[in-house]
Amino acid sequence: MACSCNKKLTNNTSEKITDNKFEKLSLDTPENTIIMAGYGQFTVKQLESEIDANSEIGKKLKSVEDLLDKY
Amino acid sequence: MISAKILIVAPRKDNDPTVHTYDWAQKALYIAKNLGYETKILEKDEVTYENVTETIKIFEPRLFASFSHGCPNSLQGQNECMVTRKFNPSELLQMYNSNDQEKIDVFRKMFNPLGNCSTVNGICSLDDNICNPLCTNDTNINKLKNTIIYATACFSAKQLGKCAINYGVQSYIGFQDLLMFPVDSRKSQDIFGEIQLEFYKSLLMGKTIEQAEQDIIKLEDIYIKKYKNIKYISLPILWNKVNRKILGDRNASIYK
Repeated sequence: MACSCNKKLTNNTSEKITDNKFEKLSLDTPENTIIMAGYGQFTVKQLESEIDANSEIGKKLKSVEDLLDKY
Repeated sequence: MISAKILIVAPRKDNDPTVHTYDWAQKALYIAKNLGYETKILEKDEVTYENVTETIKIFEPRLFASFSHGCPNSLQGQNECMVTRKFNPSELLQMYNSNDQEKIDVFRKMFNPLGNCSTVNGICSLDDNICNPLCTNDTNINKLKNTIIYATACFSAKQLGKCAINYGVQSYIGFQDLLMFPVDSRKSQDIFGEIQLEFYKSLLMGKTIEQAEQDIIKLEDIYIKKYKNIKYISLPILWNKVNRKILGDRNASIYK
């Protein structure tokens, strides 16, 4: 039997894509978005700061971000 | 034919990622029951070391699915580690003094899972982190011999997964780093739940670990492409994809 548990999502996910590399930081505003990462809860701004500061998690994020270009 | 048994564990704390992983676990329960599996869930305060250990022993699950926090050497219950491989002091000392970067990294992650961060506001303050200090409960990962473990949790594939395979667990699916997902008012987090449940669902449909992995990769790639330009959707999906680790028998299925 197929699961229908996330049907509402598919109705909720159309998003206008522009020519910018990243249109928006999430489906909501950056202020309303929290990135859950283990016991840490990052704001979008904090994660961007981690990337800019080249911290441990920032470096890892950057390396994964670079992989996005393959898609 | 005897039906395979599914044991799901789902701690939940307010203002914590487990609010969302708990919801994913409820969907996992729904899926398993609808497919006719004998299914048991331990949730919230039921998720203690003692309760989990005892339930594993009595219920004898074929698939153990954890929707919880995780550390390199343990999966976390409501207030304590619930599945672990205990390290004695001499082993920890050896790890600390090792020249092997992987072992040093595991040791360091036990105390500081996020590593050094540059931002402040307490995001790296782990005072309430039950990974810190170390889990001191006795080893119980060995009780899951011959099972498949599906761990929607951070880090556990890094060390616990390897130990699990050594103790006779058939296959271990987990993460070698943080599990990451955004939470917003548009419920982006549900996409991540859907992705995590794709693998689980494929297993319950009787597919092998290898086939289930292909199914989740396919779904991840669809979402990554769809949200490529929306950074904090595509980036965490890819992050989780890169950090998912499958250990043990890739040809295992729920029935063999």
